[in-house]
This record gives sequence, structure tokens and C-alpha cells, in this order.
Amino acid sequence: MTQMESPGPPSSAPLVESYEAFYRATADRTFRAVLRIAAGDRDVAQDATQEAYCQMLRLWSLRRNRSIEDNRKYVLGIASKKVIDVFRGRRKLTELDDEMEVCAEDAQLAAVLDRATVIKTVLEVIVRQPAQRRAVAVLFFIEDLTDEEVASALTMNRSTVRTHIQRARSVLKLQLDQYEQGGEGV
Amino acid sequence: MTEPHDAIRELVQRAHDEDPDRIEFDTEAGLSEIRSRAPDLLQQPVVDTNEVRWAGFQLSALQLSRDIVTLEARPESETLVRPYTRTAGPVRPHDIPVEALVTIAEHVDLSTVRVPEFRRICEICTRPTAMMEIAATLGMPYGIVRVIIGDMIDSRLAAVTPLRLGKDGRPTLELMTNVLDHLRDL
Repeated sequence: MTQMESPGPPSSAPLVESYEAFYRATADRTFRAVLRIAAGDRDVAQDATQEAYCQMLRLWSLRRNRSIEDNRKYVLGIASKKVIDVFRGRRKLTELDDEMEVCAEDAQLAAVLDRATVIKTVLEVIVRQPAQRRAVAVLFFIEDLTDEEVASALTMNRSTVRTHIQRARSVLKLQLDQYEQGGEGV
Repeated sequence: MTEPHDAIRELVQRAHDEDPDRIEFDTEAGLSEIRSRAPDLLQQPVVDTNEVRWAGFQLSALQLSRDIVTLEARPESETLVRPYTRTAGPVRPHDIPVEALVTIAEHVDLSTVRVPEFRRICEICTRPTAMMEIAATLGMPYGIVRVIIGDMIDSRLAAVTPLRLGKDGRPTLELMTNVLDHLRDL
């Protein structure tokens, strides 16, 4: 008698368990990437990360069988979009998106030789980018998403993503040159 | 053999990893917050697929059939094109029941359909589609869509299939079970 079986929802215990394993394995790394996109704003990064994981929990019954990497990228995409939204609201207060200005500023740092300082400068260069480009740069350079994955994660045009990557590269190239001049001791 | 962009990626990743101002993420605290929200989150329906949209519109067509006045009074979309230009003149609503499904006549050659609205609707209606769904997809008021579909029927481009209702004019048990089944699947 099938009708005797309870039609109620199945126990969510194993579901939550597998979700928690996913959270433990990925949350720290996600947060660090999101924090980078949020230009170091800890509160924004924490909120965006948690919200993205909440959304993932909602979808977990549909997505639990996907690879951890796939799911991680998905969460990262949601969180990045949330951060971009926050920064879009603040746009009036951020710097103008003027690439030349950034380059000129960087050129003044020609005296920089020591590695730690270069690393710090790289991070500062990333922070100075507009939020969208920062998100693209973090997802592409740090999190190893392809331009196609970045485009779908951020619902952006693929060619826009490429333009952002290209610009981020040209700005970072200066830092790379200095880094190599400074002698890479590896 | 390192290509320039690979070197940049390496530099950015290293900078990210060696960030002197690294902020640690408290996974356990995050997890306990997620746990406290888990029951609510898992209760929320998962809305992700076209099938879900389909079932939802069917249901809303049933529920809203007596409320057309409100629907027609809905603010128009943000486009500057006034709705009457889309209907090519005065509003002459056909007597189509709100829950009717629109089917496009077989063997319609899209390249011969000149009116953009007709063509869009032909593209949307790959299967019998509720008028409410067409209106939502086009972002147009329901009343306007009704007129356009009326014109399409006049030009033998489309036909409507009324919903199978019981003798008392109410949805049949079969239909309601069907809707309910789809809702459970969500």
C-alpha cells in the first residue's frame, strides 16, 4: 500500500550534511576571493558570501551531485554579483574609471624593488579598479575561471569580460616588470 | 616559456596568497549561522526551470481569471512606445478566455510574418502557451497581448484552445491534480 507511506518531505539530514561538507571545504577560499572583490570591505564580503551560500543551500537538492569545483564557482559568481551590486550603489563615491591615471600613478613607483612591496602594490592596483573589473580580475586571475565562466557567472558579455581582463593586464604588467626586476628568488 | 599573461596570473595569485593583511574567515561561525537559517531556506521552493514557470502561469491564469480589470490596469512597461501602437489602432479585445492556451498554426513560415509582435509571439509559442505567459515574456500588458492575439487569430496565424473545464464551468479534478502534481515537483 503505497498510500500508507508518508508523502511528507524526505528527511533533510543527509542533504544538510553533504552541504556542510561543501561549505567547510570551500567557504574560506570563497570568502577570501569575495573579500578581494569587495576591496577589503569585510562586512560586505561576509554578507555576500553568506547570502550566496544560503542560495546554494536552497538549490542544494538540485546541485549536490555536481562537482565541488562547479558548485564553488557557482557560489563565487552569486557572491561576486552581490558585491558588484553593493558597489554600484556606491558608484558616485568611487574613483573615475580612468586607466591612464592609474598607469601614471604606477609609473611613479619605479623605485620599488622589494618583493613584499610589489605584492602590496599589486593588491592596491586591484583595489583601485572599478568593482566590475575587480570581480573579473579576481575570478579570472585568482580563481582560474575561464572568460566564458566569468561571463556567465557575472551575467556579462564575453567580450566585455575580455576587455576587462585586457585592461587589468595592462595595468598589472607594470607591476610584473618591477617584480621581475626586483629579482624573483624562487 | 611563460607567456606574459601567465606570469601576470602567477603574480596576482601570489599577491593574493601572500597578502600581509589577510583576514581569516570564521568557517564555524558562518556554518552555525547557515544552520540556524537552514530550516527556512530548505522550506523555500526551488524555482529554476522552464517547467516550473509553465505550471506557475497555468495556476495564475486560473486564479486571476476573475481579476482581469486589475491586470489590465497594471502600469505599462517602461518603453516609450504606447501600447495602442502595438495593436495598430483601437483596442478591440477578442472574446478569448484568460486561461485559453495559444497555439501557432502549423507550417507558419516565420520569414513571411512581417509584424514584429506577431513574430515574437510565434517564437514564444513553441508549445500551447498561456496568454499570461506571453504577456510576461513580452513585458506587455495582458490587455494588449489579448488584442494582438485576437488579430493573429483573424489572420489565421494562431488559434486558441480553451482550457478543458468541467460541466459546472470549474476546473476538472484532472486539471487540478495535474497542477498540484507540478507544484509538488517544484
